[in-house]
Amino acid sequence: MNKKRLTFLLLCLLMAFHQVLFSQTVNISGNVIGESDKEPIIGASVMIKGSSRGTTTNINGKYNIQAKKGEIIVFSFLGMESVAAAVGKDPTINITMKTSSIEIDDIVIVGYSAVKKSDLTGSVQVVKNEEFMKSSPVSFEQGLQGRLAGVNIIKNDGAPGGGISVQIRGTNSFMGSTEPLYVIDGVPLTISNSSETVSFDNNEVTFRNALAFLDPNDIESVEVLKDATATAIYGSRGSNGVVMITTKSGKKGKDKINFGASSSFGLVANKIRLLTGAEYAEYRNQSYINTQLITNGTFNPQGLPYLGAIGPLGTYVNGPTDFDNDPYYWQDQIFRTAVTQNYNLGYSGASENGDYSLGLAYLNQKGTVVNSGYSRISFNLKLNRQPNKWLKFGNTINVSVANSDMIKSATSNQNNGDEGVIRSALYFPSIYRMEDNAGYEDYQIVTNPIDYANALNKNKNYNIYNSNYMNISLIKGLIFRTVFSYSSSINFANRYFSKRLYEGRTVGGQSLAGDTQNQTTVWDNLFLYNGTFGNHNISATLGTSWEANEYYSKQVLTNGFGSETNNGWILNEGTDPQTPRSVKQESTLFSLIARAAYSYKNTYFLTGTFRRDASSKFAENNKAAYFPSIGIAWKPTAEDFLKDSELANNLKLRYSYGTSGNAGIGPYGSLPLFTGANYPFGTNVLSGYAPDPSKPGNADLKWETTFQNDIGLDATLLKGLNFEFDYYVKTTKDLIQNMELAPSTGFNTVYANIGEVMNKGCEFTLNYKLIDKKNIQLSIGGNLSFNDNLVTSLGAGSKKIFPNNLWNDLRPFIISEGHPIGQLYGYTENGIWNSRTEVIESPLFQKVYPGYTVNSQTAATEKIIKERWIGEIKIKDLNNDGSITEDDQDYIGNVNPSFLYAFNMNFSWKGFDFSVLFNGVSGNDIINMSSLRFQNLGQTRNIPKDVLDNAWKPESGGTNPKIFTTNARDIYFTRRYIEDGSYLKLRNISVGYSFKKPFKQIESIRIYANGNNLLTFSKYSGYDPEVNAFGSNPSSRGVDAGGYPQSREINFGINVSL
Amino acid sequence: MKKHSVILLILSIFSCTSCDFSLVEHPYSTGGDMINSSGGANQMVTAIYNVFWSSELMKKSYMETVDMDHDHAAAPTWVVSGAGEGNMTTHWSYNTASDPFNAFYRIINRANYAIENLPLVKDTTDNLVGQYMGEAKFLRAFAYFHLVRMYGGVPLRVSYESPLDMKRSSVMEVYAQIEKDLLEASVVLPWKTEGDNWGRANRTGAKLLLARVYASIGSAALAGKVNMEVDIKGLIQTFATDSVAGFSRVDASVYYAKVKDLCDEIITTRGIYYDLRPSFKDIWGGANVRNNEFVWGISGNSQLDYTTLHLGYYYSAIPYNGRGWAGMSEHAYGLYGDSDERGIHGIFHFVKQSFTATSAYVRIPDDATKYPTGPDGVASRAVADYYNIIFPTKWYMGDVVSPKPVTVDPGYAYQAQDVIMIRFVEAYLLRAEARNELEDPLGALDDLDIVRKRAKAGPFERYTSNKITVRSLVMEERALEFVQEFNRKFDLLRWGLYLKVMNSVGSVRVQGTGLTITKTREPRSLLYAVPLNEININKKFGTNNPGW
Repeated sequence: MNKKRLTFLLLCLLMAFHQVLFSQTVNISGNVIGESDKEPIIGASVMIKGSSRGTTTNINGKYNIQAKKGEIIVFSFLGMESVAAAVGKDPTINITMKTSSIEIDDIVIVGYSAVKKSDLTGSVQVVKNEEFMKSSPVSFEQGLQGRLAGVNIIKNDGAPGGGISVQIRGTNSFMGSTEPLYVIDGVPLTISNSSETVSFDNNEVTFRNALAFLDPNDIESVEVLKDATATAIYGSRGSNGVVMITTKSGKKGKDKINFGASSSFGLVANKIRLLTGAEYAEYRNQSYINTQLITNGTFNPQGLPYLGAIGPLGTYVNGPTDFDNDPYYWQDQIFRTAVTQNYNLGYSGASENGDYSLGLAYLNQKGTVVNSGYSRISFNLKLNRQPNKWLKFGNTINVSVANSDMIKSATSNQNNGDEGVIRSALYFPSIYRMEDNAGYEDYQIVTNPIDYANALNKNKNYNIYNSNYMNISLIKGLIFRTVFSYSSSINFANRYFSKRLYEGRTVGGQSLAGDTQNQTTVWDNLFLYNGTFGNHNISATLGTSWEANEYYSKQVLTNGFGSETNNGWILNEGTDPQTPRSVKQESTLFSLIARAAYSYKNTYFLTGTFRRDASSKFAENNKAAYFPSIGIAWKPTAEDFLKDSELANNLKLRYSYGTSGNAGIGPYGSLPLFTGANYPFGTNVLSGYAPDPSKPGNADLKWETTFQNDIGLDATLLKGLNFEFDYYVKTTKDLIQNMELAPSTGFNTVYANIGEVMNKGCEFTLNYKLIDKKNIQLSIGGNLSFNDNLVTSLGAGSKKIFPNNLWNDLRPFIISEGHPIGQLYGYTENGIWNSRTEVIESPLFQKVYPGYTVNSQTAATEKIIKERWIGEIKIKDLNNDGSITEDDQDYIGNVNPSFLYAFNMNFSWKGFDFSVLFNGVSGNDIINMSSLRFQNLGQTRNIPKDVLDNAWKPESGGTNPKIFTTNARDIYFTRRYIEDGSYLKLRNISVGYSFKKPFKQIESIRIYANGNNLLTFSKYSGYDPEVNAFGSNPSSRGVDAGGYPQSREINFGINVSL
Repeated sequence: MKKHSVILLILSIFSCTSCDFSLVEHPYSTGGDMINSSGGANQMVTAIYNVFWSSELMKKSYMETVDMDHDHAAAPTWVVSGAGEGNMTTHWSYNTASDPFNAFYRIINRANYAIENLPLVKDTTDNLVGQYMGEAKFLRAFAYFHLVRMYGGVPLRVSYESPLDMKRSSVMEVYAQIEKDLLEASVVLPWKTEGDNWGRANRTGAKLLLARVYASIGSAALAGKVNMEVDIKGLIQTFATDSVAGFSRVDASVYYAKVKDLCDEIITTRGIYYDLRPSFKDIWGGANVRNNEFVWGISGNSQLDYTTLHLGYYYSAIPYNGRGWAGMSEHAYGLYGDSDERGIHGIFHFVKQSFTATSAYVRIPDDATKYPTGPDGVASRAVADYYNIIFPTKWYMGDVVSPKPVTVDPGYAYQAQDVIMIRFVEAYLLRAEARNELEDPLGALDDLDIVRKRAKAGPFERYTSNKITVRSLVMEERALEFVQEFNRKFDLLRWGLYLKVMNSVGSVRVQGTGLTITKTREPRSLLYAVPLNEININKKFGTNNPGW
């Protein structure tokens, strides 16, 4: 429907200044109707062949045109086969148009202009509302999963309102975001998941979804721009691809009212088999016995932690048989069936002079972890007015308010018990029951998961998005367009870490309140030109864009709560207020934009774009960046020799080359900054300032530039088989790296441009309409994409970069030449040390204790052998230097999938429709952070049964380390903690039935049901292989940090249209 | 129509030009212009001290890395977090920006900044710029002194913009820089800092620190050549010390002579600036904060930003505002004589396992006649497996002579607390060590007796002139006096005793489910593991310390 509107709009603009016609012509009029529904076609083009005279049909499908006898009138409309009629005697010509059997020629919105898809020289994919709504997504990105080739969409975790990361054509940054640029109705959106997240907790890695404010129902279509000719126009923000979001507009015809309601039920798909209460107690006893025997040679039977008899204190000490929890006890306490309700009301219409669309929606989503949820009220209004022929204006307003009840889930910490609700539920000893009300301090060193679930953790988001435009037709074909947009997003967060949580325990409860405020103002001024001269068509855009962003955040926290009855809401109850903190940042971007597209005979196409971005964020020596691109296309099917081919209905070959950038730098990112560094002398705190350890400044810092080649083929064969193929090679230079500095410099990191990465890959999309009859349709489709990521250069600097520590010294990710971003690096195992002889005779041992033989009996050394060697993991000494050092590490995994794939089937028969979508990734690794704890056998945490079953024992050996309580155990990062993350998911299955005119007053009713994530095929031992704790951070993807598990959902809904 | 287009064209051009101007950034960040601002000199120096109040040092890691890895420390394995078990690589901070290695270099970086910029400061109203210079040098020396003892030779960065790649200097080169800084500092610093200057470095502190530096060099030079007696779980064993790397060509007597001279000089100022407190109960506890025996310490207050997680909280026992995680071993406590106030008032004699335990107080030591009833008037309980850590009262902020238990879990237990780094009494202990090595063992015993008499421990009264015995007595006296004052591990290391003593001790009993903590150490534990960023990024650094 949108196509009709757009065509109409475009034609209106083109026709605005047509000439006064000659008088010796005949007035021809008539109706244009569609063949299938016999409904009038609004806005169809009525052109006199070989001239520039023409008109369009009105709201009733009627037209009126002056024509000479013998002239040919061509009626055309998007998605319909064109009809030609000669002017004869009859002044009335009625036309019935047939639906085009070839691919509908969409109008796609590319940067700063609208183009017919068939005229594109670049790689652009479109997903319509009906498609992404099939899964009833809460946020539209979720609905795109599996629907686009080359686009990897991962829900970071299953938390309601949680972040979703979208990655197009691989990773081309070390640390800049991998998120594409989002553009709503032509205006770039600057907020990001991380700037929207109020973070009180350095270890927490859960992100909010910055796009959650958009109700997917309000979105008409989503276009994804992938290659350089499409993205270069977005300059320094285009290199991760661009996602263009078009919101719904009113359509001509009767005013429409739509009402939709749906409910869904979600449940965590699987649970992990841990130790039961009794098994856990046995395990702890065994740990005690082993540890005592190894360190002291004896053990005190009375000292068993779960003795099951009268203990040394004269009281009964519980034994294993006194505990009856099942292995899922704590998981069952935190998980529940989550119910989501979603309502939306839409009201839209249009008249001669404009259109309107209004949407109102309410969402109330409960999470599968108790006490978590997300609710949103959103309002969307879009108006377009055309008071006269030369002026058009309009605006979009979107207001939304969202409330999140959050739960601390994924954390990067591995040490101290602040590991979030999911890992706590796994680690928390199964000897405790809810009614025991056990806290952190009963020696188990794990926070009670229920305490996490009960902790106050609320987030409120207010989002206002407004954009206004005015188009003025200056002369024929030339339009001046000005767009002014303002958007603002405010997040308020309140959090309380009670004394029962690790985080609040030592400080007597900690209450935090904070907010972030983002404001963006955009002002674009553009000249748009479109002209046809015979066989030549030229369209061009020239203009400027100015953008200003403001960011402000503040946080206050206070500690020391005597009473916790107010859950920390009342900050002044805390006895120990801490220094408030705030951040203020401003940035401006000023750009020149130029785009020109030329086509000859609708057969040869050439597009050139150029953007100059001058950004305040860029370093002093590099304030402006230039991004040119070029695209060419050829349609062989428009040539005479293929014109009437039955086999190839439409063929287009495309090639594009160009650059786009990734600014990747925050405001002030290039400047040397100082940080407050106070100190209390006597009784006064004096102010001090020190060079910021992570901001030494780099005056040469610049954006990252991506050079992309893309060659593509679009084909429609046999009138029903659509095929798209793209092959691309992207080289990204000047990658920004938060380059670590040697700690002895006193600085930690500095931003620097180092290195080059290459992504190359190919994408296939195929859709085949097997049956395409009036009452029955069946189509199948799918996509497949491969991407190969390779760091080709790291410049003159370090040849090995460890982009970040996940925790402590474990730095599983490495960036090094010849390896991808996302390469995992670590040690190689060689079994377990089984015997004293094996240890003593090994070169590793001999290096530390030269000359020690099997017959030697030094007590201290014997003890070390028992503690540190036997029953512990044997690491391969790869360089054979006799000791295990950094240099014994190797490349041991890769978190990048080797390919992504999806396939779908759509079937409809009369009012009934059915669709199914599978998608999968293959060949990627996942780091399972929980297993780092699990494999450290002997500590006071619960573990999975199979980990215990494989623990090393002197008599029988084993594949896991021995059960031994120590903190000095060397934990070497090996494949032990890495798992295959490949999966295939039944992403969505949906079935619906539409009643046309069930009642006189009602246009249609559709009832439907759908299921999401119903089946997952995977070898992963955690909850779900779809994990991405670190969100859009490109260099630490694929980590399961104890994130909120994804859920299986079943959804029922109804849509009523009046 | 034409008018419109002209106006709009002008407008859009205007929008272009007006915006390019605003591309210059003005960050909302302060402090970059201290040279020109009033108070700038003070701000540069204050920022150096600020590093102490980070989790990498006084808030947490300093205790775990410096004071839990020796024979007298007793704490469960999770409290010591790897570092206290001789394996820095499993400590929570290793390789992160919170690694103590980074923190000490951050002190050095800020000190270098101050040392270079103080002479440029234009503020003429501040007449303490000279003193600030001394403070910066003192702090730089303090940081290098820790680095060289923990990591061996390290890159010697003495200017703010030193090259990224820098090789490790030799141990003695680092010591030479420390000596130079402390000598220069002790000229310009005032002898004493008090009142609103408490926490600032002073001349007494600089000289005492320098004496400790010289003694470290002297003892390390002797290690490998001399014997030492150490009480291992109640049994005195004689050890031939191991040589300490880096000191092979050092003449110990030269350094010990300097120790003696410095200590003599400091002791002559006794009573003028700093002094010995008359008895043990006058040193510690809430009533004695910032007394005139405390020469220098990390200045704290009640704000969480300036409180230590460990001292009051981990180190004090339940139910004395603490958690009772880290204390001293049973055999370390056994070194105190019956009359020694450091044993009598220096530990909590009645402790509980937790606030929730309804059972009676446990008496420590398990002496029913001496400690029959707990503070609640109920008969005390015998020591059970759970009570094997002895908790010193040193960092308790109540009254150390009669500590007052609290009945409910205080939860928030951080308190205003200074971390005392240098005490006047050390002048006697260092002089005793020097006198013995300078062939005056009897004079050494005289100095020890000053310390012992104050503690009401029996004096030695020149009972022996055996150098080995006196050397051992000095070292033991340091352990008795400085328990939980960050010296014992370095004393073991500098005398080449660490591995032998630790492996002889084997394990000590602690609180917690593991019940013991191992003390056996591999040779690699002599030096800490350097963070990998240093090794990977600083091209000239070379390999990590042996075994890491």
